[in-house]
Amino acid sequence: MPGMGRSLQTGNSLIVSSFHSALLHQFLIVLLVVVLCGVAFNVVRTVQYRRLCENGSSAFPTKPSDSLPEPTARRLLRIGFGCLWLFDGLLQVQSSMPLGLPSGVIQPSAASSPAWVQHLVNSGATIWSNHPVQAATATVWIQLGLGVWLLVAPRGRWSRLGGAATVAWGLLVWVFGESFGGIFGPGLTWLFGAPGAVLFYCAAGILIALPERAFSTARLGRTVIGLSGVFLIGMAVLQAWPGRGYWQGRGGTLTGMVRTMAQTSQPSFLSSWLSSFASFITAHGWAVNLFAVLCLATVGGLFLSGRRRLVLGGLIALLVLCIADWVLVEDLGFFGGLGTDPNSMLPMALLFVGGYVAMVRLPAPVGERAEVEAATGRVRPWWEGVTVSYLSRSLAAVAAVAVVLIGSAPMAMAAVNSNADPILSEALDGTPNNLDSPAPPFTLTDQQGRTVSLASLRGHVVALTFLDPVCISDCPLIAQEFRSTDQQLTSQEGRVDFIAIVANPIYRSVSYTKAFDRQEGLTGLHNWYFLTGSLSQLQRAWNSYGILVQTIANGAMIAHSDLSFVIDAQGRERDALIDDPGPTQSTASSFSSLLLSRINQVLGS
Amino acid sequence: MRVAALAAPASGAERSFRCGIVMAAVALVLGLSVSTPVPAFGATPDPAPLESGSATPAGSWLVLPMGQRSDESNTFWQLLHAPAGSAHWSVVTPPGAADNAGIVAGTSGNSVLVGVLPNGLLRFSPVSLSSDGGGRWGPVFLPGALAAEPDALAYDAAASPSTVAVAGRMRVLSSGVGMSSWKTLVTAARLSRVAPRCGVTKLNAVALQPGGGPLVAAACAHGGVVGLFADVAGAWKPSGLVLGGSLGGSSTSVIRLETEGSTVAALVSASHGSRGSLIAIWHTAGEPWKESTPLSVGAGQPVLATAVGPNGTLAVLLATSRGEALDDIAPAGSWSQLPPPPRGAVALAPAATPAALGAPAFDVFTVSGADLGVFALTPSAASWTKVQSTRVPLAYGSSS
Repeated sequence: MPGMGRSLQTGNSLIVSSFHSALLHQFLIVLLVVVLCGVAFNVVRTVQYRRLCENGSSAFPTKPSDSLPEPTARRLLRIGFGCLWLFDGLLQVQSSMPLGLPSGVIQPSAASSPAWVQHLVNSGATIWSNHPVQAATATVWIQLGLGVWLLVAPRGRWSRLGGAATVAWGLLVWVFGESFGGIFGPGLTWLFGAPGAVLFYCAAGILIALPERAFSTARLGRTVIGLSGVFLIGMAVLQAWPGRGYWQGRGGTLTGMVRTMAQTSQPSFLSSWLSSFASFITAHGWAVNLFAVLCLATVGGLFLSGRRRLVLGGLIALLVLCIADWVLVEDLGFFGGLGTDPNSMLPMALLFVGGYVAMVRLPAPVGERAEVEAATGRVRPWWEGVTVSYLSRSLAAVAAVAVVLIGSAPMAMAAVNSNADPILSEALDGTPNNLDSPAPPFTLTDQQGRTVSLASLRGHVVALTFLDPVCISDCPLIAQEFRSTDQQLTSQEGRVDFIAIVANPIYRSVSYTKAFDRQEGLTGLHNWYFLTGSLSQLQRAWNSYGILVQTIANGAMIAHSDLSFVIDAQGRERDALIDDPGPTQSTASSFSSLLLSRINQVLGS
Repeated sequence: MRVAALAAPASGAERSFRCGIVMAAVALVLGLSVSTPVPAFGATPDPAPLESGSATPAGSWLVLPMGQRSDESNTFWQLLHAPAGSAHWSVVTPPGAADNAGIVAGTSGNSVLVGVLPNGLLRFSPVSLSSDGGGRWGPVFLPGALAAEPDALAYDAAASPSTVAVAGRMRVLSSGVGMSSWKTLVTAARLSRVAPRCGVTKLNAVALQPGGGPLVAAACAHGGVVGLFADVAGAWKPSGLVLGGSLGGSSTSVIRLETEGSTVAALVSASHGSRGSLIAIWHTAGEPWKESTPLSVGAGQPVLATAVGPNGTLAVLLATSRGEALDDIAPAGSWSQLPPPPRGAVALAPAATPAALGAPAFDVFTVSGADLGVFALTPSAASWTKVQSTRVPLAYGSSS
């Protein structure tokens, strides 16, 4: 029935089981990649051993090929953000991600943004909605892969490339997942994660992607800390700006946000902390905001001073504030079944600490290795320099890149495929019923006034449905699904007819079927028939196909079953499919993919 | 690994640079986050409310919305009818099409032609005709989408053409009795050429004149011109009037246009700057239009509903800061305020029963979800009393 309020729930069993199944299959591919890397490790080691023996040495090199240690700040950022990506990847495994992310995370985050942001974000959300399983599994592997990549590749181009990959993926997530961190919407506040957690991942990725020599002086660290100071002062000004609701306790913006967070599904102790904090803000909203403004402005000022002790003091104060905000305002960020990351405080704190370390802990001067090589007068061959650690890390990095690609490939395919996955239609309406019985005959009038019977279409496969020509919701969508299926048939088009029988006992004249065809752009399809007839003729057709048509009084639409049938060339019903597109267009074009597969199956049998 | 020495303190130039960065960043953040409210300038005539009542010798008719009116998909428009002499209103909405965006009705005697406004994914208007006061309905076909105006349809089986309709706000279609074929009667572009002083912006309403052809109303952008046009010997001519006085330069919109007996009655909304006025005008064959004194309508006082009663009496329900207000006017009379209508009044219609001597003959309607209340003036005409309560079964969720 149209408009019966059905929708895809985030826990839809078909989607969830398909998601888990896809993850398992891809995990097996990942395992294969790991095995191949293991084989490659043994091959390289064997070749290396032979070369060493040929050159009179039987011992593998133990000294690292590059004796210089990685700069501490870089290592901190690399390992810290590698762990965060791993954690984010694991969060993406949650069952509600495939169907819940667009409606529960992406669209709400864009809701208060300008129209152009919503338009952009919705285009990404549509790709995810149309291919939820592919998109969700891709995100898991991309984020796990990025995490492993950053962790196992400490030096060189592979490592810097990992930083660049972090920036690229982070920007995608920031734009499409976080709606630019909400910076174009009202109510932007540092306390709730402005300007988006992933932007800090991107900043860290840029630092990791820089040449290592950038960490050799304090200039990089000073720049990071200076920009952080500017950022914090800007956030303090925003927090203090009158009229934005942050100075209010009862009914204020902050109180509302914390109360909303408290309602998220989470451990009870955390919920009670949040509720208590919300009560505290209600009573002392002005003071809480003043404290936040002063803290942000003071720490920003200390950062801008550039003096080591002052920066350290500010950093410690900021870390305390970040932890308090993370627990009491951001609610740790990852509860509720749709948490995608631990929110902004952890990555921001990590970035600031990295900046401080880059300012105060500088690595040894570069060039020792070059000096050694210049002194000996020769460049060492690879088998003398490659240690077991270097080799295993390099291969692990290759494996991590492969894991990222395992995620990226289906994501890219999903992005270019405008037809939604048939699984959506099956998840909403159930899997098609296979039939094998004679299709009930009918003789009706098409939109040109010609008589058309099922018998006259013998030799063609028929896709049959029932549409109300003055329907305002489902029928136009179903008609478009049929049109899309017809367009995808290509070479088989001449062997298939698409038929709709009027499902309205009142507005059933040829004028109305023609008007519907014009409205839906169906007039140019030579294999499309919108059939009507006398009320008794239509009732016979409805009854024989089990279609319930009910007139509802007082301004409501005609209620009718949303059912389609695939009838083979011999006039036998082969499939019955529910074609209810649901109250939203979440399954748009999914049904056409499903119908197409069924028609092709019947054509091929 | 070793601990490096601290960098040298920042120089003066570096401090200036940092200062610049701070100021630029703060300006950027503020620019992004502090929104400026956009003031509303000027005033144009509000769209005519679809909530409308009319009368024929066979009874009274009313179009009004019911259900969850803040949510269009759960708003269901109803056609109500009270036969002449009866105080009871019945819901006679034609079945078969979702009417969440509204309906418009053209009435003549015991016949009523109802068009459903396009909504959702439907882009044209299903139309139904009843010749027995809404008892039985037969669908007819209109090749287009009706304009969302209360008098976008006019029907009189005895007239020629018998049906005229404003389609898409820019053309008027006409048809004979069976409505089997339609032709374009006139377009907004053609009327613009006929009356350049008007500056036609859209077509508002149609009526079938007593014993004559169709009358078309258009919204005029300037000059105080009331955009009424008639077909005179095959040529479209301006048939309205020009408002004078303070309304001389105003833009106008005809929000009601009805034929009542031998009289054509129209309600004109005129706006000039931030001021708005309602003017009633009447016309009988062979005589010029008569114009009422203007009823001043303040800013933020939209017209909620209108009704045209017997002999061209007009009534309007206005939203004011103190609730709803009701005014009516008879031909050649002046505007008079009726007792405050019941709270939540949404529509009014000519009463089908004879009125008390001298009392205006209108019923007022309240809606709360599926509950309809009908109020009539007490015999003393001092207040309103509830005369009917009806619960109308509505299929919530059926249009989503």
